[in-house]
Amino acid sequence: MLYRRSSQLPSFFWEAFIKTCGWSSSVIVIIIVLFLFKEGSALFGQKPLEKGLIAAVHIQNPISRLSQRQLEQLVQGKISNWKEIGGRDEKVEVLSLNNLEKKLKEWKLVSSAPEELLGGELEKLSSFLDSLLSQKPGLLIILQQKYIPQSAKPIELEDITLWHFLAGTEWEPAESPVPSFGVLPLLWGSLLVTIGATFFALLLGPPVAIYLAEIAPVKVKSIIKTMIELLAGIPSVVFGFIGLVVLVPSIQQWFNLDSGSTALAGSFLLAIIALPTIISVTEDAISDTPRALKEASLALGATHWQTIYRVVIPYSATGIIAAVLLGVGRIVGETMAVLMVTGNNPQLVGLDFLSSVRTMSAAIAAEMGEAPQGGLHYKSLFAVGCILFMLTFFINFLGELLKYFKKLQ
Amino acid sequence: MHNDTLQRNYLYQRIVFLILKVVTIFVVGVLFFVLFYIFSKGIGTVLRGSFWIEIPKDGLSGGGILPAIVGTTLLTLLSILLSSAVGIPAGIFMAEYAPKKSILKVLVDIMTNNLAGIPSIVFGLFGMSLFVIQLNFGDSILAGSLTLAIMVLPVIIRTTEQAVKAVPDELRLASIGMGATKFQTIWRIILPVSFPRIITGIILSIGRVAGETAPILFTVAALYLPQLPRSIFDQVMALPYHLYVLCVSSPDPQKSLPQAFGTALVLLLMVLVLNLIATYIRNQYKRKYKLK
Repeated sequence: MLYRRSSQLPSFFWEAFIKTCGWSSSVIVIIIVLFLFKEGSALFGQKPLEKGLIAAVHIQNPISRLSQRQLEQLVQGKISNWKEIGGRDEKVEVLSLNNLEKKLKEWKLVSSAPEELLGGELEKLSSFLDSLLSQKPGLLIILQQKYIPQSAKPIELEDITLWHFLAGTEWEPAESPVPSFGVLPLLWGSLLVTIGATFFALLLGPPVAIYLAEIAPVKVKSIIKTMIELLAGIPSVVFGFIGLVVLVPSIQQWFNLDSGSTALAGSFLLAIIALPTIISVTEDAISDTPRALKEASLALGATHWQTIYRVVIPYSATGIIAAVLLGVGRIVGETMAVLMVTGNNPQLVGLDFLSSVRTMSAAIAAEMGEAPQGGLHYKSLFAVGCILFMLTFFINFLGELLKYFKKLQ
Repeated sequence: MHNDTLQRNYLYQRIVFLILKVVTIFVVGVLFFVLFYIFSKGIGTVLRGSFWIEIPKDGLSGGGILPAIVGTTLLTLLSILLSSAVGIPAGIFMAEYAPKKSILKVLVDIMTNNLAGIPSIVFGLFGMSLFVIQLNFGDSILAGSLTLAIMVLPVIIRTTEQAVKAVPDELRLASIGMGATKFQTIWRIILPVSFPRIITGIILSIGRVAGETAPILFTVAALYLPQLPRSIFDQVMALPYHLYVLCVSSPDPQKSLPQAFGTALVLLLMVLVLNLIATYIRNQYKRKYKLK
């Protein structure tokens, strides 16, 4: 009975419903892009200090404007004299709540507890800084508005720029009071691991695909294909776990390292994770070679291998490249396995596969939990997400384009 | 002389084929190694009955993983339900309604492929920004399921589309020839015939959803939660995240290693069983409709 009634449903509603659903993926992609870029782009145009903090110097200091780069270098001690950036010949001393106690002890202004000098709630801090400024005119104070003394003037800071984000070589987003958001170490980490993984995947993927498509008996082929499907189903966190308990200690032993958590471990694991994609797409491409081409080659006296090498592979080259690109798209975005085995040290390491790296995806996964919502760190991670999105989009798009050309062929 | 070249060529061929075979054996070997290693190390933990029905104890080094099993089950069911409700109609639309070779179809195709290629961690970011913060669901089963549902949506659309396309045209023509409308044809002929393949796709997606960690990191997963969830606005533990926690942020990673192997084995078993079921259904279907 139910069946009869359902068949009388006006097909108009059905079609409207089905069309709406058909558009769902497009709508979702657009919403994802909107949200990612909204949160990510909010990083730019912000002051490079956490909310509420102000940088101030002595009122007679000629410097009134600092770029983010200068601010970072001042705080890190790389600029030790105001002379270097056009100020007077005064030694730079940076004072913030983080190093307040340490500095005061260093200058022998307090002996034990700073409370007597500054008050339990720091209510005397402002007036204390007034007197301190007259002794040390090179002071750079980074504090909340209410602690900034009368004899200091706030410095105008330049906004965080896209260029600074993309070309910055330091990723210290949780550093207080001045964080650095240079995405290059993360980008390089992702790139390095991807290069390594692509190398291993190229070494292992196409041979298996050629074997399956051209050589393996039907029964063996179906068994191996089932297994590869199974391999594709294993969650990446399980691979990460295996990597952590087997691969990492082995690498440590083989190469005699302090820690086996390296880009190499990540590369190998990612290659294994990308293999099922690469093998199945490559195999499809190879199987698409017209039988007539192969038979013509064999009829001319070529061996099976010569036919594969001279006819099948050139014919399916676009398909194979597409397969590798799709695999690389998976590699770049893979998170859990790399997070667990690459050691997560955000540094620019060159081509050293035996050092620890932090990839973009791992940075997001590892740091988002600690980043206060809406803060600079939070926004910077979204900006990293945007880069990741664009990168995988580009790679996958290339892969799809090649697959499309292959079809036209 | 000529014979020499020929012999050399066949020698080459034998060597190259041997290399191809060795590489294949190596790849299959890696799979077997992973399976065997986790089985042998985790079987002891898994066979302990309390592992399935207790909450984690002693700083994650004892007890069981019941909350994680319940959490993953709930997340998977809800997200697959949500995703199928949108994905299956969308797949039918792509296969039956969207005009072939039109700009619309190409556009939707590109968007679906694009969605499928987005890294899972980016889904996590998106889910947190939209569901957890903007819509104020908080870290909850609802937010996590929606995020996971969006992640598998393209997979479900694709499998449905392929399943519907695989229905032989004779069936369509016969149905329309007997006076059935398009709606009736889809509902009575195409869906029942393609149903087993759609189900196969959904079963494989279950495996993918249940094993994903990155999208649930900031949308639902709890480090440790001794009670079971009461509503869809509660946080839950989840199996893959629990495995990650056991390896990385357990108070004593060495002591919680047996628990980690047990959890990994449960995840593996789940994937194995789902794959077996999918293969079985596929074979039955092939036999029934004598398809290749």
